[in-house]
Amino acid sequence: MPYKFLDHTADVAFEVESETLEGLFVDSAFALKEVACELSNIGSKSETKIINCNEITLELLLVEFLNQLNFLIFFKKWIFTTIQKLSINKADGEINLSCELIGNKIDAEACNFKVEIKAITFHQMKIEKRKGKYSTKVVLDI
Amino acid sequence: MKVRDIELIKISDNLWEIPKFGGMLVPGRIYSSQKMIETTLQNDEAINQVINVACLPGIQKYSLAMPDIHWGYGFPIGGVAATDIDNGVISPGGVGYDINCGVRLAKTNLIYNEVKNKIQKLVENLFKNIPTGVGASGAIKKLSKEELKKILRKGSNWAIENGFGKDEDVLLTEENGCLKDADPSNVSEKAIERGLDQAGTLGSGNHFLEVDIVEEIFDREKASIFGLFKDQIVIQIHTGSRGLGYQICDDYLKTLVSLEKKYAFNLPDKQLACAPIKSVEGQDYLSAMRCAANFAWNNRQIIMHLAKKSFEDTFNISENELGFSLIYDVCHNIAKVEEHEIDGKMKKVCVHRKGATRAFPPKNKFIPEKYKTSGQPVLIPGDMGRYSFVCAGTEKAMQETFGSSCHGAGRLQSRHKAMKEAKGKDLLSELNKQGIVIQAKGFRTIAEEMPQAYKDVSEVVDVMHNAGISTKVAKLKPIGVIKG
Repeated sequence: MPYKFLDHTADVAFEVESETLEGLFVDSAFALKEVACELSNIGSKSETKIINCNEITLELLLVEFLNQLNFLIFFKKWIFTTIQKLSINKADGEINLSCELIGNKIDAEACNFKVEIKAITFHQMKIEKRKGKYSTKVVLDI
Repeated sequence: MKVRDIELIKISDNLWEIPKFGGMLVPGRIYSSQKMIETTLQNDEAINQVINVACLPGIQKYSLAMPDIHWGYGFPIGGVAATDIDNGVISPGGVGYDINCGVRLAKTNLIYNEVKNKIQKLVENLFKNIPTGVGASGAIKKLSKEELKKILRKGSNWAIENGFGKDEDVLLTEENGCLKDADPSNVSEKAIERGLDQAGTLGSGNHFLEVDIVEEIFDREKASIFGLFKDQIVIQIHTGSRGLGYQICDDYLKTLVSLEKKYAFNLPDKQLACAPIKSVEGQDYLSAMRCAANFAWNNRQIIMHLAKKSFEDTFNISENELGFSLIYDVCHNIAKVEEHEIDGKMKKVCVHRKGATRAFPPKNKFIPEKYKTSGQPVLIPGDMGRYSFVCAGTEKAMQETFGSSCHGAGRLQSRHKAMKEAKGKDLLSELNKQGIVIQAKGFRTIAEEMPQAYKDVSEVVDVMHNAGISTKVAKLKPIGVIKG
């Protein structure tokens, strides 16, 4: 598994490692989904949503990306199964992320929510590249 | 004593100090027993967080931690810090995502013998009338944006004006259920959207509504002032500002993280992101935070009204016979401008209480008239299998902790560990055998919230009692619980 859950007394924390920055963001998204719900199948009807975020640091970008997914999951009851065409580009002092999500709106009862994630925190988050791999910790407020 | 290589100096049996070092502007002080430090503080990051908070610009006297301290983000849970109103900062991390998460205690005239055969039915009715669980919604009709903004300005008063309670309820709520200077124009559209159908909902995780018996009275005089007597049936409501509050915290944290360079802060943790209190950004956050606080008070007011209806339906009795009324409502995640004595002078400070309850003493002008001789009720819930405590605020709290006490048991086990331990156990039956009826959305919540996952709240309360910060008045035992 590209992510590992860490023991945290009050909240939930995980560590992600990936060979690419894009992979780090995708793996973090699936770790978040694993914390949130047990749903793996969204049925035959699916739709695509575009995500776009602009921030000044990679950490702000990751928090914003995951918070947008969290909002879709818990507030819109819209669950993704695939993340594609994720790209991260730097321009004019900003970092842009764009990607396509494939998923669907699910009936609240069928979402199999495990626990409500209040937010994605900055605590202990530091995106680093070491020995050719990107890594970070993510702590979720539960 | 050393904890994670950090030297703790014993000040008294229940108070330990971390001397100033590195970037700390003030020493750290932790209210705890030696046993609790040895068993719970050695394995988590909380102690480093007390040190980090001591580095906040403008912090006064001490970075404080209550005995239910545990690892949070930025601030520890159970953390209290007061910052200078002129030269200090406000930090959303010192309030938390669930702005004005808090506890409300209401009493009835009923005694245990009168309800014991109908607890199951009562819990079913409560569960039916009060939306619980992840993304719970629809307790009352979905509000228009304009109506929601009225809640953000008026707090509990909105509920009263709309038939969800009595005028006197606001007088028995911290800050009369409404913080002034709450301007909804500082709240994002996304946060407004999240709040539209969540007024009057309990939510999930550690939030709950509990039916309790008053099991033991420690202080007869204060219990009588609070309206508590042995075997009486009371309820506790624990919830906060739901998605609206989480979104406000998230919105402002993002803005404030980007300000670190502008204000030349050198913070040890991004989650401590802050702004000078008097800056535009600081004032905007405070205004939005007050909106969320008002939403939370209104939320607990509506839930209490729905609970009262559930009692009336279950026992088929009149409002007068039931005698349902509010004892007090406290918040335990908040930042408020208060006056405290510092170096012999009264000074305006911004008190951050993150997982800490206000504990103002007798005669204080900010507590209800009714509690002027007792001190304010301090409500400290435990876990769903053991007990909770009602305490009273003291003068010593004003002198030592900016008028603050603990807020609960504090987790002992991670959710993952609790789930693992719960596997194969019939927790519902085990709790039923102890006379506790539980209704929840699923097994997972019950497993993650099982009593063994929490510290024994009596140890936490005893530290505060023995330190003279908040004194014990009564012990409550759960008999019915609804959870998300």
